[in-house]
Amino acid sequence: MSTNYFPLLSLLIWTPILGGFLLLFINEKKISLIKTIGIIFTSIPLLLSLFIIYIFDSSSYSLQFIENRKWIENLNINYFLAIDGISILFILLTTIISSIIIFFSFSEERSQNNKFISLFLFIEGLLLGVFCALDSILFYIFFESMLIPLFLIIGIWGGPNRVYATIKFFIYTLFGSVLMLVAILYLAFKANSFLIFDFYNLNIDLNTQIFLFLAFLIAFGIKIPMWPVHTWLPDAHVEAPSSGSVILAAVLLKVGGYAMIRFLLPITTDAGIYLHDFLIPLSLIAIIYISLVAIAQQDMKKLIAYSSVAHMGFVTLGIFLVFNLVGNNQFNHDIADIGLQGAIVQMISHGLISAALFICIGIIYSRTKTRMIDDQSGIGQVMPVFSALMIFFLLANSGLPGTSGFVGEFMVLIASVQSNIFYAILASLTLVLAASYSLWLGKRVLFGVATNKIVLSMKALRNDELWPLLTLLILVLIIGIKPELVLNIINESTNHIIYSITDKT
Amino acid sequence: MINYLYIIPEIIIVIALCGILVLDLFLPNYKNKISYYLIQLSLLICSVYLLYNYNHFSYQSSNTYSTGAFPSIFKIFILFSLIIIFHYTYNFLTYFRLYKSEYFLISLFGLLGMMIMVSAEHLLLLYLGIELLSLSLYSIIAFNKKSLFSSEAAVKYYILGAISSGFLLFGISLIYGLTGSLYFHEIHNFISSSQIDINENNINTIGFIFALTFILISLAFKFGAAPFHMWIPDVYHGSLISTTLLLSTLPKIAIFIIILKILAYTFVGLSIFWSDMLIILSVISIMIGNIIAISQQNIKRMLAYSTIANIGFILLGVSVGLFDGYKASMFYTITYVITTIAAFGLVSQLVCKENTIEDINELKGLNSQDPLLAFLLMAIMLSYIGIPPLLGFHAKLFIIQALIEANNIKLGIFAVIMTVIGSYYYLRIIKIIYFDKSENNLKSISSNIVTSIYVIALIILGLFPNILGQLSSHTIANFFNA
Repeated sequence: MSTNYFPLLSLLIWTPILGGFLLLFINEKKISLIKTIGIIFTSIPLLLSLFIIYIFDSSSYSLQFIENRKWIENLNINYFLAIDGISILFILLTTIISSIIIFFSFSEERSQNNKFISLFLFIEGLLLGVFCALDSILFYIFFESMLIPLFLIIGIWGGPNRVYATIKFFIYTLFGSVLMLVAILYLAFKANSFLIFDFYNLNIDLNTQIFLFLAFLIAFGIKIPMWPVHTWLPDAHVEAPSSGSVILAAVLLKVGGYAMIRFLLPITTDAGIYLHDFLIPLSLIAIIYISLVAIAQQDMKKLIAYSSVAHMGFVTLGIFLVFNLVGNNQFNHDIADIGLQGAIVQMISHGLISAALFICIGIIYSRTKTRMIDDQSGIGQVMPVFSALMIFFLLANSGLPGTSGFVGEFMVLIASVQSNIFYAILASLTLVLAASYSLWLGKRVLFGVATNKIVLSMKALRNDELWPLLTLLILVLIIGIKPELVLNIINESTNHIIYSITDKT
Repeated sequence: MINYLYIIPEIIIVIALCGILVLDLFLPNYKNKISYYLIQLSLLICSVYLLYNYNHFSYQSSNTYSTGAFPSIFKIFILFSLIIIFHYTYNFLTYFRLYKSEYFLISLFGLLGMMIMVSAEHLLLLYLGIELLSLSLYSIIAFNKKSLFSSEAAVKYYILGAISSGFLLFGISLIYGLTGSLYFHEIHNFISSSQIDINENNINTIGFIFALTFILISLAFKFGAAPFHMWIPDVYHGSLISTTLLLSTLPKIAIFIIILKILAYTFVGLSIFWSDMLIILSVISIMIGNIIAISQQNIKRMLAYSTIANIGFILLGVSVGLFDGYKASMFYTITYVITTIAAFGLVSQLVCKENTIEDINELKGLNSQDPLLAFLLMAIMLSYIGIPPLLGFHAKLFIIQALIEANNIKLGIFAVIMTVIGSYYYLRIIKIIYFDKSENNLKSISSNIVTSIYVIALIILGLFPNILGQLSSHTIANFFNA
């Protein structure tokens, strides 16, 4: 383990939070000052994370940039931060998306801008904390305190039905996470330590493992979200302001997937192998059924929200396939690895694409004040650049080869072919379904003849709307054309996870 | 031989009490605020004295009246809290032209009662402490003469309190008959030497269980644990909000210490019996508190039910019956008291249309009127729910951790699920202050400085839970090493 004495990760986590506190004391009328502070305090973490990935050693699975201090001595809880190949990607995703959101969010009009931006800075800091924390209680604290800023963002700046949506969101996620807390405390009691890596070496009998597995599954399944506990997500998305939707879809959902890789795979392996026949159908239902639901939506935001659930179904499929493959007699290490890597790439790619799509919908909404698909038609005539970009992201959403959307789905499909051909056939239906809802949305909104007066008077894309989309476009293309860039970073870490799982069984 | 050094804090309070009582008679009306400042000064002197001398004597439970770190730390905490409570009470009473020095003097009698309870190592002394506290509480509940509710609450509390005192005395007399002593340490020795067998139906065992049950019922009543909670919502509702502030906080600490002394020390040999009783009490309290609070519209009633639920959590920790459990309970009690003083204190300083806040909907628009107070109230509510990184989270964490260490996972799951149910009514307050728009003209009757410092301290204690955690383990360790 390499030890780094400069607390780089703490700096990364606490800079945005400090900026958030600073903004609370600034008059809400001084928009340009708020904007400057917001941009400064998101670009510092962005630069730091780029620096970290530059000096990050991706040829090793060991933890890097370790910080370890005593925190709650009574219970032996530590302030333990470190990253490996998997967390670094999510850190980068968080800092990039946060910078984009701060840049984009000033294109919308709202009251109390200082609080709005400061809540986003809080979320960014807490998200970075989740991806760095390797002490389970510290992880839990970051995981749960993220609820507060988003609860307020939806509740204060949301749509007409915001109170219902935000309380539903809060109680759903709180319910999941408290069960996780009990599971963590149980594991810590057995392991006599709160470090996540100490949980990996525990020998727990199958019955207990199943309970632990279900507790974690409920927590992360609600967060990611899995069918049938996904219903809070469409509500929250529809009511949230555009920037809130972006951070929710792009990064917050990924916390669930990341945590599954950290907790479910290595700690409760036996239970996962025992339950995989029950888990994989859940993911397949999410992929197929939710895609069908997405086709039927009238509200653009709801459509993309459901498509997020379907894409997250691919992530959970990739993770659960590892259980299936490890439990299989002809176990092939590389195939399991491909499935897991596919899940991670899918998360990153969906983070970029869904962020872009929610920004697109935000742009349309800010001009037409409606999100109903029927109310718009022929936007392509008045906003050609915007329409080209949106069509690109819709294609990426449906998994067009050459974009990042393709890579993850393809890798998960390879793994599912190896485990069970029926899973592969059912999962590959998504290619058709995703194309139908994405392209049909494009057809109805962007193409056709603009007859509506509001559509005809739409203003062209401004710079602060164009740049976020262009950045995302470049990233989507890079990952789509050269996925090795991402795969090389996570390769050693996923390999190590698969090895440690197989060693246990 | 009596060593007067042991009781210097009590002597300070008694001297201040008598002196100010007499002085107040000679003060003209427009100068009677002087008494308030003198009272605050005497509390400050007393707490500073304790702060410097808390470790001067070692804690010995064989005395009639104990001093040392264990009681002193609690006394310091009670005194400091009382200073803050008096600050809010003073502002509140002056604003509504209800100020009378007697209010504070009667509260000081209550303080004396609590100090006696904290230090008592003898059942009769304990009884006297409880009565001194209760009698002063009865009178300050009835302080608002013009209000019908206030008198009703006082009479209700008085009658039920008298019955519960009767239970306590009956239990004490049984104990005296069985052991021939009223000293905690002698009863403790008697029980641990007599080898009580659960399966054997001899008269001693039954007698002890009988006595224990009576004492526990009385304590549960004073504590406000369900099913002996009926008085809490009515009394909280009926009294002035400043009285509720006092009523819902400090007596709970004193009762907690009594429970600790009686169950964890005196009757520790009977722990198989009382731990089940405590589990029943706490499960019912948590359920009743959290579920009924959802339907409350009055903020005092809502917080009353929230108190019941919190008491349930404290008892859950005690029921574990191990060092970790007591430590967690102490942490929870202190957290509860700090949070509740902040909540009631903040609400008592708000007026809506020249009236105190009664209905929770009157808090609408607090965010637009006073963003700082809205933020502070939100932090308090989130701490009540137990959202990290606030103090309430660590309190719940310690309790659940203690339950799991004792292999009582089902209760742990029960506790966390009830937390989720309870989160709804706290969230509703956040919803009202942040998400609802309204023209309500809310204003604060005092400066926000005290509340701000107080809540910031709450947040800092949450970020560094080690401070309170070490204090609790130190105190409880001191209690057991006696």
